[in-house]
Amino acid sequence: MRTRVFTLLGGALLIASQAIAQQKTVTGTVTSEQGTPLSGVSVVIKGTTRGTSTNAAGNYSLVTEVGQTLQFRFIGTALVERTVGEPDVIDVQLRRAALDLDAVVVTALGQTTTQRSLGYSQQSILGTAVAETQRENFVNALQGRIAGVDVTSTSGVPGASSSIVIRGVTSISGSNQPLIIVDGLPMDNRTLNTGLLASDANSNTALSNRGVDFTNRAADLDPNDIETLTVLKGPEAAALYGIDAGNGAIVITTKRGRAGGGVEYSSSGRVEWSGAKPQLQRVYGPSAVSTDGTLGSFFYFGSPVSRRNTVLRQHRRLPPYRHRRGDERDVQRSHLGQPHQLPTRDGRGQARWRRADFGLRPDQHHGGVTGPDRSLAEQRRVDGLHL
Amino acid sequence: MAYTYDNNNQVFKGTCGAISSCASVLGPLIDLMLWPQTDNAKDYLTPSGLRRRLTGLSAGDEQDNPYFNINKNKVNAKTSRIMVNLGFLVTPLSWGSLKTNLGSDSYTNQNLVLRNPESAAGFSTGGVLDQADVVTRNLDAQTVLNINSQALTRDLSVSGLVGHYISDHKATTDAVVGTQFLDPNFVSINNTGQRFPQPTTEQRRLVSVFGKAVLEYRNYLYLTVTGRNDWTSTMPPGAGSFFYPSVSTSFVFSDAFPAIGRFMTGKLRAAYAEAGKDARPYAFRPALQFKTTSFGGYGYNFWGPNLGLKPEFAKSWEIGAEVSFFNNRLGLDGTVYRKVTQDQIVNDVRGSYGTGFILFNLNGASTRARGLELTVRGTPVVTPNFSWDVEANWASAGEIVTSLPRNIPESYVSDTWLYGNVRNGTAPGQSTMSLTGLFYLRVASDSAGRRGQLLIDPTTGLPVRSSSFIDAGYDRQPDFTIGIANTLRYKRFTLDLLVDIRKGGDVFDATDHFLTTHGVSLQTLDRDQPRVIQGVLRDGKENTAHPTVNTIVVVPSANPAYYTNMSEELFIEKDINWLRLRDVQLSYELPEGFLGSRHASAFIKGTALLLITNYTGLDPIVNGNTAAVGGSGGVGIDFGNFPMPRGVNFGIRMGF
Repeated sequence: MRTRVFTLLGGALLIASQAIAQQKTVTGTVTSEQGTPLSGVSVVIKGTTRGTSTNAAGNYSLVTEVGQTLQFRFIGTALVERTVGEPDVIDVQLRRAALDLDAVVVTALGQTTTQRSLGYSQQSILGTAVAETQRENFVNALQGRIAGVDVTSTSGVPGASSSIVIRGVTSISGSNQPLIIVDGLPMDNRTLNTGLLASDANSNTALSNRGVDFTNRAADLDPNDIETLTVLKGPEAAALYGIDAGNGAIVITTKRGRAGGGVEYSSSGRVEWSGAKPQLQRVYGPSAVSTDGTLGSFFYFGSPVSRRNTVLRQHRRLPPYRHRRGDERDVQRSHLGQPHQLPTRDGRGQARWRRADFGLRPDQHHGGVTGPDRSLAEQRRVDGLHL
Repeated sequence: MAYTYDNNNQVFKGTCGAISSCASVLGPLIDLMLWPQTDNAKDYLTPSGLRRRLTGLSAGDEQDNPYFNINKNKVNAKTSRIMVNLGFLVTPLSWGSLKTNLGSDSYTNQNLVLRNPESAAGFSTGGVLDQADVVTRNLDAQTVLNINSQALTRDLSVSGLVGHYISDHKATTDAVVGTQFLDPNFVSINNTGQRFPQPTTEQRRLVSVFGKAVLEYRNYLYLTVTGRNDWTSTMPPGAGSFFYPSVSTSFVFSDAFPAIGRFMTGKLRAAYAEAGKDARPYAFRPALQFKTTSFGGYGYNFWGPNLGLKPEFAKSWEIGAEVSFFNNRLGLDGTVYRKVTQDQIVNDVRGSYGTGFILFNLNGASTRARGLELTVRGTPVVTPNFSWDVEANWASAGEIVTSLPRNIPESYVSDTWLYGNVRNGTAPGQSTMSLTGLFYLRVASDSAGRRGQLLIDPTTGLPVRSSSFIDAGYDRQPDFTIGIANTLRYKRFTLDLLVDIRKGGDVFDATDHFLTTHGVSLQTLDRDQPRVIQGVLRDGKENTAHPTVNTIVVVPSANPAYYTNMSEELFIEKDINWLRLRDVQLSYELPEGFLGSRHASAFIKGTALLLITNYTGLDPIVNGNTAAVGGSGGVGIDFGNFPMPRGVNFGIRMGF
């Protein structure tokens, strides 16, 4: 295997690329109909593979020759072509289009083609739209944005695994997850199976993937790094990506260093709270209470608890049961995350720190404390060294 | 190249294993709801630092204090990952280009799962400490030779590619479990009296060759043909090589007929594809396991061999259309598809124990999926100051099982049997998302017009449950889902909204079943109310024309079996719908030059702020297992799950 890999590498390097002839540098800004700068717009010299993409300020810079045609492409906008002439600056405004058959789309094997030639269905979303959802795990950003894609998060705690199913469950025991391709190569999206834990070999201690959760590893991809995300829904994906794409493929291109870059900074704070509160009956007491206050069990089929029932009260010095609809004892979360992003020049080398906490708020009635008590679950993450 | 470090602490969710009694369960949310309201749960330790107990039950049978559970049990995972992707693009000639990608996706994943020796889950074994270090090393190499479009005639041209792909994916796990803690609070494998190691290696090598040719006629008719052959290491010798083709076509009718093209743009597309799929590693010849018997050695594990394993094949087709009107301001995209999977490999089928094995991996299942997808995009308003974009996605799908290997009556993934007696069982004719369980027995005959009514035990007045797993038409597959994304821009303000709608699909609220059997659910409040359960007595006449109607009065407070013996069936909530405001974001483009930046914007964002649903539990987005479980998994099984958080983000983005 290894020998073959290096043979390939050697073969690739032996063929030297051709030198570039008469040149001229064209710069410009690409904006939307509203005049806001568009980042990530692909600028390619027609008929070649040479090109660049705009930076966050919508600027680009490209070495071309007079007479060549520049093509400006962006998801959801109509294609614009400009011929390079005397001026060194070409500014472009892109118009939104619901369907543009000349739009360039990323498809299997990272190939780009035009929408008009596709014989199967695929749907794309922009990386900025994914990042703006502020989901730690980009997979969770897809629900509702692509027809036929179903994302189920295991639970609401940070670092919960999420499963993606495209066009329904067809394998009754195997994986129904799509293949995730990042810049042309597969990215492992495994969630730890507890079968790997040694405790699973014994039925007394086996967890069998119940009661615990581990992150699905696609979450290691920072949503801010995604430039475009394309979902190939049918097994046409498998036709070119092979057996792991039998349940579809998610093809991601990441942001790469851009000419005329700069520093991008973003920071955000987050407050999070529980989406729902459990409601419980508080009228009936435990099934069996012995005279020393010890309970027989945590079954609550006992008599209605009134102030006359002093056994528990005296023992614990706490008020008796009342029907309070469980509002004073609910799971609260406080999640204060502070994602910072500070990529250096050309969008290279990013360091980011993300943290999510999940707290159990103590019973106000008993403790009188309102702030988060202890971190229940947390996710700390450092993404660095993007080259 | 990208490096990521992730440190994740989690808490247990709910589980009680495949037992109906559910003596003690893991999970602080369940613990919290069950803990007596009169007791201050925050005091979870005695003055001497031991677990503070409230009942006379054994420590393994008493539910944990929620704070004890959170503070003393542990689920931690640390991941260090480095992804490298080297790409070479060579354009030697005018007719094509050669692109090679070499990649390495490598990570270490250190897991620690602690069940404290004093906790309900760890007590019987004196604590359980799991450590598993997974080293994953995935190498990929892909080379693609692209051939640019070559004109064959004046109207017809051809382009294509050929390529090959090699992958070597390997994961090595060093796992050890320690029990019988010496010091209950010292978290170290050195502190355990009994240790059991379990190293595993999983590896798959795959070599593929593929090609694609695109024929183009006058820039409006396209025909694409592909073929791929895979050689995989996870199939038995001789079965590891398989080929599968695809063909797809696209016809831009608005260009072909300019009369149509004057008022609309449109294309039709159709595709047919086949795809092969291999088995997981060690599926045909199982890995041997270290044996703890005298003098050690290796022996078979649970799995039996299957040297006749074949690759499974899926055949699918889809037909679709894309049209747009009003100068591309309104676009429609519709697709109808069908996918048939044959010779599907079913993992972990229970066979006769007489074979000496428990589980087998067998070919022979088949499934059929059908669905419809519609996307509407539009820009109803565009003016220099104001614009409105909308995109709506509608999808409806249905998948059924058409056969199972060797005519077994039911196939299920045992991990989904996580609460009571409900699991993701399926059988021919049923949905792949169905649930089976020890549901209630019902009147089978229609002779008295009482078909489907409950059968009642004549001695107790309570319904009779099946003693085997039966299907009762429960299906977690939604009827359809809709996502609507809106973007409104006014001058420097932008408002984004994403609404997620689901119609239909069942959700099992195991949490409520657990709370009901323990007498804390709100629906146990009317326990003093005498009642008669509607149904007919199971006295031998239940399926005749004159069944005995049940008249036995039950008072649940006097007979808690009314609750404690309730079938989980009553807690499978049918046809759960939701409308969820997943995302709302208001952003403001700050004036140029703000703090010397080139561009800057501030935003406030709400996630999952609104949920309207007919589900009575906390949140219908649940999975009782994890994403690691195959098949339909534990999706829609809610036990001790934490609901989706609602949150608000506020932040700023700047470019310098």
